[in-house]
Amino acid sequence: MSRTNDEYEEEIREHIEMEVRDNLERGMTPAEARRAAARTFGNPGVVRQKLREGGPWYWLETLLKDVRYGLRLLIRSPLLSCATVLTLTLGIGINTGVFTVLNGMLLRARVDKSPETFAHLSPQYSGDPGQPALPPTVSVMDYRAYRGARSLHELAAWGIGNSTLGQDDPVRWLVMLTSCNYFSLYGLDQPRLGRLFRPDECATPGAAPVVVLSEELWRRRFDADPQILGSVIRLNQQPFTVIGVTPARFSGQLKGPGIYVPYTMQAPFYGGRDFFRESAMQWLTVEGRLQPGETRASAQAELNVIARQQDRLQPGRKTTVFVTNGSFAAEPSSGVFWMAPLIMGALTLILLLASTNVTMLLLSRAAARQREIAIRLSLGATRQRLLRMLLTESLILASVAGAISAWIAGRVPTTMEKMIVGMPHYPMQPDMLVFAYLAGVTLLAGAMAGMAPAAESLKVDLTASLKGQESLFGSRRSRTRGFLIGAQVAMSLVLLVGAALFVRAEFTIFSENPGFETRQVLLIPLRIPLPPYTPASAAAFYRTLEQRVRALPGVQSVSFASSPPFSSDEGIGPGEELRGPGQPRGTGLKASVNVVSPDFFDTLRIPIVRGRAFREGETPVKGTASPVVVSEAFARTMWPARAPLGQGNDPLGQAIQDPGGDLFEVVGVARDLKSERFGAVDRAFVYFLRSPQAFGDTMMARFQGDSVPIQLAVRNLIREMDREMLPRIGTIQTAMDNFAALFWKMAEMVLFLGAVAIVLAVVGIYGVVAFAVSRRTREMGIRMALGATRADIVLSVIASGVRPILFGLAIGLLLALAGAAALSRALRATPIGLDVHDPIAYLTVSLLLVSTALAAMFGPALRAARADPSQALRQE
Amino acid sequence: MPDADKIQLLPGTLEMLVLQTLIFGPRHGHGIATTIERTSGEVLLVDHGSLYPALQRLEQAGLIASDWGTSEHNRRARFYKLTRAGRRKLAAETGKWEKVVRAVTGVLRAPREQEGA
Repeated sequence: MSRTNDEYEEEIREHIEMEVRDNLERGMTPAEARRAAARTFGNPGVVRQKLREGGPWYWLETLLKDVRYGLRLLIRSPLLSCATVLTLTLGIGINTGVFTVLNGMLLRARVDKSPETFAHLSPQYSGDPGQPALPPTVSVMDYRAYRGARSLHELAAWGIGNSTLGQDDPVRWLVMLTSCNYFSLYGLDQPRLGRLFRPDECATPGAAPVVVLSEELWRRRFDADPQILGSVIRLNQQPFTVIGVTPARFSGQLKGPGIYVPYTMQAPFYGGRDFFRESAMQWLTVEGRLQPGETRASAQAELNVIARQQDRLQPGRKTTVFVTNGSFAAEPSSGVFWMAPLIMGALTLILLLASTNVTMLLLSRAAARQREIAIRLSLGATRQRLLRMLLTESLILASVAGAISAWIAGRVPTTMEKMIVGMPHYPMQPDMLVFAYLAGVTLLAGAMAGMAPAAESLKVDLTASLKGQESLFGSRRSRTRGFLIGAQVAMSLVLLVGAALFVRAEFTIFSENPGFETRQVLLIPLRIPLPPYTPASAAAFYRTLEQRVRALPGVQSVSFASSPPFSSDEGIGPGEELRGPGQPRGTGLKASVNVVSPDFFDTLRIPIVRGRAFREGETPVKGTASPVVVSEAFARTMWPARAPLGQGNDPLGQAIQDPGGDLFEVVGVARDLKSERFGAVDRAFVYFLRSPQAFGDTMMARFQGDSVPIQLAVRNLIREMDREMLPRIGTIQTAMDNFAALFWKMAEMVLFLGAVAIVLAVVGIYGVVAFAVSRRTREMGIRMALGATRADIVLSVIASGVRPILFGLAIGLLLALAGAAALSRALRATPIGLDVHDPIAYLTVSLLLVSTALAAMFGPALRAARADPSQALRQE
Repeated sequence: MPDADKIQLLPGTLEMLVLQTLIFGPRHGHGIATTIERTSGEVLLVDHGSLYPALQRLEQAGLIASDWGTSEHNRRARFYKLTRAGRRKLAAETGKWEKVVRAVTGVLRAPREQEGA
């Protein structure tokens, strides 16, 4: 239906020919005839233009023209284009990335296999207002009834419990109590090893003590033992036979280490209560698949009929069943609706910031283009057409940023997995919704960034601009821009100071010598469960193990400590108050306490600076003053060297008293360590002597040579003595390294955010200054004509931009101090010691910011100074 | 005829005239132009060129269709013909136009009748 211009061209030519022929027939001369025909036809140029504009593809033609023109301009100033794309990518990319995560966590069901037929039952109960609200779960009785629904199939149920594994296990592992069709509902057909549940294993309550393990658990806890099938493990002390292992890629509701048990075996996980006898007890989540042709609405209608019948069996209960797609957001009363605006608000703010910076970048060019625009306008281009042209430019920039952001969105799943260890499974692969969001954000950013510059370009007084008299005074909005710049500087400062503190803390982990042996000492944490062990058998276990480890070739020293270095689970406690004899309660010294066996100082190679260490075979004796060793810091504080005369200030032989009133005699002073926080000297420490009857402490063994064979040998010794004990053995250094690696992830994230912030700030500063300079060319020209030097010009430009930066620095420093204090409070329980008032961190970051800001201003300032005064004056 | 006696068309009426010319069968652009001129007693100006954007609009609206054919002088020419939608549109527009004309004429004649009374 569309016609080419050539066709019209031919038609018009033919039309004129016909008119000429008619005129000739009317008796005109050929020349006359042609002239008259041309007159009758009118201006063919105008006609052609009108035909072009009326054509169905005219918009595409102009769009292509605009894109070509825009691309040419962007290529002409590659630096500006790159900065713009980078800034927009940060804005759009962060937005899309976070949205991808939100989408995966809140808006999509946690199911990989055909989510469109997935149906999640969400029952809401109302009824007796005096009764506590019932949880949105389903009882066994109801589950059996719902299974009769004809609109659904594969209706599966699951509940969650937790369990110890074996006897010495401090960890409570997650247990999924599932109906036997659970795996096929979630799309798992083939296990990694063995088999999945058979339907008959869910038939009789308590009859099938079988368990399926996740691959992660199998690897982590059972060393990927290929003989695991058929072996019996104890879950909450009950024996279960391992029948299969699920592959690592299967996630269902649970990712990482996990245990699956038929839901008919729930009793040991719910304190022994049998929910098949108490069949009205609600504890199950029910999910299934829609039958072909059914919708969630139709399934919901059918289930509500069943629910009403069930309610008759439970007077006072009124059930409404909602069938959702299984996402968190679809859950009634999920709270997403107040969370969403918060998150989206923050995201919009980031986008706004990026767009504002880009606006400022583009503004400087827009001002410079007013002459071009004025010429176009005076040649008859419509404002609408020009607006489209200008917006096309910023949209091209946004689309490039959008394309990069699409790639970022695709990287989200792997990044999240790497960043958050043991994160539950969520479907994070970008879907249509993510791409729609990305497209929307890109358009919005492009339009937001381009609108003001376009308006600026179009806001021309035609005659004035052509004469070059526009834009002497501008920027009423300069105050707002100054504020934005200040805010960005402050934000970068806070993030970068955080990053600097983190990096320094990380550095100390690796560089500082903690004052004791870390590489050649194994930590062997032991936990003895009291039933079945008795205190006597537990102590015997410790003694036997100690002898056997001591006998291993390569082991040089073995000892025990109640709190081994860098590994306390509860963090650094407040310590115990120790007093001199006769000193009133509350005036003593708070010290960290470690209860150690005599060889402790030898095992860790901790030097004793005065007196002696504990002697081999020395034991605390009730009723006498037992020996203690104190740290240098303790001795220094308790008995200061410049104490008044008459008070002995030699720590050796001094008596101290613990909070219980027991007396101890100081026999030695040990060198201060850095064992509580990385890189920080410990506070006062007291080492008490461990009773040989004690148990429950961590064993430490110093060895020679490679750690791996010793580690294996110790592990085998323990397993020989108790098959169900599986301690995690490793050197102190390994524990430190693991910690450092975990910590580094946090540092990396803060560093990344800091880098983002500084890029945004630099782009913003550059944009503002460049815009101001482009507006002040004429003023610069006059100044230079009046004798100002180039240096004067550069300085005046920089001075104009420096105020918001200084303002931002001041605010940022205050915020950074407050933030660092909060951060170190949050990290108090960890071995990370942040040096909150580290002046180097603040100074380096401030200098870095100031110098980048100056560098950003220097370019436009130089350009202003390099301008030829006569030309600058003529140009304006 | 001198140009001064020609009348500028009201906007939108050209399309109606084109449709009307095509009611008796397909015509090419020049034929449409001369027909309008002739039937209007050479009063209604068709700046021949302005015909083509109008033809383009009508064709895109589906009121007329066009195809290449051979002119009376055995030359290639584009012929336009009414579609069914075009025919309906013409009927509607003609009705509307006549109403307007009657109304306007009525108003214009009213003072004279009053004088006569």
